Amino acid sequence: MAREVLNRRRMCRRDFLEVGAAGLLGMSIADLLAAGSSAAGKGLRPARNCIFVWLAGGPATIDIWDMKPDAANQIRGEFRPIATTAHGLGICEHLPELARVMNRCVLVRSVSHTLADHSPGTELVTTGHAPTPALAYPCVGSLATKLVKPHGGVPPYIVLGENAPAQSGFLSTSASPLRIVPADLSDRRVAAPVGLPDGFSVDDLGRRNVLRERLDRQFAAWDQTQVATELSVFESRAMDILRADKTRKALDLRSEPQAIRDRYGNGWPGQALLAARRLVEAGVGFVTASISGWDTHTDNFGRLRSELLPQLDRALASLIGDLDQRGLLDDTLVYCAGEFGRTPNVNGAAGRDHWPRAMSVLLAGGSLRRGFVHGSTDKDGYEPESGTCSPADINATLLALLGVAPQTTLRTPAGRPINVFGDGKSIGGIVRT
Amino acid sequence: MPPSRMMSLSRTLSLSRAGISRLGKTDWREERRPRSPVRRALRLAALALIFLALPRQASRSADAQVALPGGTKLQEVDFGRHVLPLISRFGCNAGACHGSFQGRGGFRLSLFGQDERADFAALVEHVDVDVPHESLLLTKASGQVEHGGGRRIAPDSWAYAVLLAWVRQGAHFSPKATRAPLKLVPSPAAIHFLATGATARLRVSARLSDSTVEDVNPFCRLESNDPGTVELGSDGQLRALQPGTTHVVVIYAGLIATVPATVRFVSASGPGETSITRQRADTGPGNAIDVLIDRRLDELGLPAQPLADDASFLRRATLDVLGRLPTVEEVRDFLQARDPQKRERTIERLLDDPQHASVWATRLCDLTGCRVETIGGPDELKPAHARMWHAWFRRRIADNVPFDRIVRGVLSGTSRGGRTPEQYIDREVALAQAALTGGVGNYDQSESLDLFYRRTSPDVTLDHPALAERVAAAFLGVRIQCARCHKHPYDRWTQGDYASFVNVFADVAFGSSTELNRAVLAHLAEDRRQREAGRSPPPLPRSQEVYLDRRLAQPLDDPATKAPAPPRAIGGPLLAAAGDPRDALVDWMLRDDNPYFTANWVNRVWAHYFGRGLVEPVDSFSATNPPTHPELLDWLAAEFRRSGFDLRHVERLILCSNAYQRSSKPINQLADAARYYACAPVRPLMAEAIVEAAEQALGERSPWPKEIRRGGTVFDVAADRPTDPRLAYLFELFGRGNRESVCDCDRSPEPTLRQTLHLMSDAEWVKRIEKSPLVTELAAAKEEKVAVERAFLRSLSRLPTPAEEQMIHEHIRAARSRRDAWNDIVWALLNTRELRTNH
Repeated sequence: MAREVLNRRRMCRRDFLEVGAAGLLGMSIADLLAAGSSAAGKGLRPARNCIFVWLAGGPATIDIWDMKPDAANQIRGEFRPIATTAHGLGICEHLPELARVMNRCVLVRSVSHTLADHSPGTELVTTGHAPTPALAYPCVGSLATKLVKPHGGVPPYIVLGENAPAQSGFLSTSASPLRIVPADLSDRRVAAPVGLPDGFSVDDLGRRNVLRERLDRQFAAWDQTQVATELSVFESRAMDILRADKTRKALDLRSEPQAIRDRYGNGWPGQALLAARRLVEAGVGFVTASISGWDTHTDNFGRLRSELLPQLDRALASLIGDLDQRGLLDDTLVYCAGEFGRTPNVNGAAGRDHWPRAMSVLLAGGSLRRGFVHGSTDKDGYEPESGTCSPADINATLLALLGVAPQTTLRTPAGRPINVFGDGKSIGGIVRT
Repeated sequence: MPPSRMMSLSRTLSLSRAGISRLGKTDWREERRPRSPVRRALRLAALALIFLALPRQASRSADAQVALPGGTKLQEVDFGRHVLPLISRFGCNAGACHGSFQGRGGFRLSLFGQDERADFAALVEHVDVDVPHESLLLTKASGQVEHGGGRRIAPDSWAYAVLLAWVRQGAHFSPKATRAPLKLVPSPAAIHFLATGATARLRVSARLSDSTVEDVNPFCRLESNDPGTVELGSDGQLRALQPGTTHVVVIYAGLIATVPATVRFVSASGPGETSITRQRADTGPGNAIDVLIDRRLDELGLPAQPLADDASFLRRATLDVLGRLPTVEEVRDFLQARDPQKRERTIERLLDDPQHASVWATRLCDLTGCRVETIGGPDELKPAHARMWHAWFRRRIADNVPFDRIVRGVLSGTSRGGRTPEQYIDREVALAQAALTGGVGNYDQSESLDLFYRRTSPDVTLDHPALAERVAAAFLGVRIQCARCHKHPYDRWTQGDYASFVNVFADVAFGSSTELNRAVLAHLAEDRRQREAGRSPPPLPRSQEVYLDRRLAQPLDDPATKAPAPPRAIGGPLLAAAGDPRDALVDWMLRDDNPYFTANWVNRVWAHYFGRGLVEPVDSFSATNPPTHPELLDWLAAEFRRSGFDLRHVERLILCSNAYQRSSKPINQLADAARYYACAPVRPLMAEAIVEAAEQALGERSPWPKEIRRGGTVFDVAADRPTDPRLAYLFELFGRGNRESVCDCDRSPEPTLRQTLHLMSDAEWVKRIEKSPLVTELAAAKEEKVAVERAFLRSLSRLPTPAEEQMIHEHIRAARSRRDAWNDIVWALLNTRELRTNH
């Protein structure tokens, strides 16, 4: 946002980390992780990557993850639960593939908030803060980019999808992601986002870049200005990415065996999650993949049954299964959520409306438990009954699992210290001990 | 209600004081259990009434005298002047605590204490007048009883003593206080720190309605707008952390005062002082702007850069005024000219250029929300309607029509104006015909921009609240969105203010009026007759219009009165119910004493030329967000008004100032200097400008939309998203914005990784460079020195330095071919930070 960039001018100097005294609040996940890494055999270590599967529009989690088969007709809906590989856990019958991998997942059924509009709800869930005119907060992907040491040669943070939420808030634009849109993955693309074109070799690039750097020396006097600094960061990052050429290869889905592509599905959800896996393999730390269409005010069941659930089922189950099979699941967090759940009561148009008071989210990987359910909702799914937690708690948990200490503080351009966990407290119960 | 009646009420309810306090306590313990809202409301009402009555009975024997931090002794604790401000000061009623919509822990306060009565009703439930120190208000706040918010107030503190004294004195509340605070008087009124590390103390008194003055210092909430510059310690102690200026905002009992604070860069007696003064004296102030800018620089002890060299000035001004690079000829002519007035003459030439109108038409299309998706009417006409929208503004800026007339044309009027329905239909037919051939007909000559009100969205034909929010942000610089749902937390707007402002537009309708329908039917019948007679009349487009119809209006209710809110300007007077309130709104905006309109507009012009407003964000004028240079903003606003709202006059003043023309070279170690205009700021280019710069440098226009006129630039593109996919991609890549949001942040010109990757490696871009007329021309040049100069002039709009020239010669000698070498050189020039920024 234009406003932010101007406010951010003065950022570099003060945009530093402050880590206060530890241990005030007892053992946090991060402490446990730190303890685990030194205590042999525990096997707990910070995750290195995170894939955030964003279900834009607000999925009817009551029909997906937290079914109410015994509730009255107008609440129960049209679907039945099926058993999964996690003992005693049932999920929607239209998710047969995910049912097979639920023994590797954590389901949190008790996330609750109060913002029932798409845009504020999205901001709350992705940043852990309700929108306020006073300060724009960064989303969890930007925080992770800022706080977790990146791998070289690839962008630290990529979002897949036109409208994937990705505000970098008060952080400088260097914590914002590289955005990849569906057109970039198609064969008829308007522009190639990463990678050198035919006939333009790494040597050509290197030669031209040497010249660019020498010409840019004239501008060295401007180095201390915000815009000049940001451009420099992007120049060296772009050179890294183009030289390593890992990102282009990762985004080239044609090099993946056809059988695997088919398993993920050929629609956008399959393509996006396959790309996400390939990007994480290439070293991208944080990937957000946005899948839209979940705003089912009308024909909720028809749309879930015919398109939304089958596509999600194949793509997400393949992703979790693949990561596990490739030994990447311990290093990679998977988080699947939308901005809110949907009303337990089915409306007159066979749809469900916005319902932030109770929603379920799926997590997997890293040091999370395997095949575990946290929290529950009342008999009709209106409110959490146990284990109530907020979107900020989920974000705090993710950051902690990535090794961020709970006392970590960032400063806004105006110098205001902001604790990165905000109001959130990491949910210890869903972490392996 | 007189006290005597309340007393009798309390007797009828047969509640002893002990009973009440027990009730209060039971209440608390029970509150997590579900309870009927009606019963709860009744109980609350009864409690409030009883407590209102009690103080008259309560003995004053409590004679609590509370010593406040400043040494003052407080005799009687008042709910509105002392208790509620303390609750605010300790953050109890913040949005994250009990001020949230749901309250917290079953205890709800109004956000930042905006509703005294409700807060009193909530608070009395948590006091025990019999055993005051056991009141939950105190035990929770002091953390003696488990409290989610932890300990806010220590039991041995003065604040605790104040609250305790209030309870002891009977916990009363007099809604119509005789001693209501009217105005805050901070002392000093402005703070000047001589150096980093210096401290200062701020004392705040309040003038009360009985003309007395009370020390309210301990009860104020203080906030530094920039805690990195001035930090707030306890009890009003301020500490200068780094050089700069900011404001300390004082909030007390619904009143707001701001105190400017300045921290000097160089200590007043420091050795730098004389050289600073001399440096600026050499140039002398360019115009009145500089007098005010320099005054602030002196206060800050900041040196300033000298004026930028000619090439830098020309590039900066051409990019800002015309949205393109200067041509090679323009640079050469300017560098060679010996005329001492050449900068002023160039500024005139730029302001007269038709492309200047195109840049501002685009800015105004951003502001007024020209989006193809939401323009009402037949789909096939929407792109043409966007072009008409742009053309309407372009014509007016080109003719330098006074800005008040432009704004009246946008905000008031109807589609038909004085036309009969038949004449209007004929015009619609003519415009549709023009649209099909890519033109705009004579739309740009029509008096009003009715397209501003021709809006649809999936949900509603004309979204009046969204429209009103846009008007407030665009033309008044005020954000009222928050007040749609609750009182604005950082400003004075209530839901009632919001509803009143929305209702200014309540009568505006978009669609087919009965009159127009009748005329359309007649027109169709006539067409049929014509066709039967063998003639072929031009097709009639679906005719709709913007018109006024009070019968269709659905005015918003004021939540306080539950009745339709009367139309009122935001922060202004009630607008006459007779006639069109929009006309009265514009009249009010143009009045000399209007606090927003002119200030907002000159601030936006300033922000265009400096990348940052004197009030920033530009659409956030509010008591808590004062301008960095208040006198300058006032002066510019007055000048704009005095000149008859002459936009070009304001631009000329800015462009001619030293502040604008200074070198952008940062002053060593003083990264913030640009904020005070000691040097010019370095800014990213607007999306259109970077696209245009590339086109211009390569010397070949892409086959882009027809709406780019001969000699024009991509600023001619009217639609939010052009039809050409490649141009649409580039606009999005460089952050042009989609005009969906009212916010000025809809555009995001800041650099991104993807932009850099694009300029380094996009296949089509790299190929375009290699096939460009520029590379061909350079490779074919007979004299290498001339080619090098030309390459620099085309891209960086300056001549190369000798070192750069040498570097280029070496590169050419080492290359396989001249063509290869020039491909490299042009690629490198177009990837420099110097090209990508305005500096």
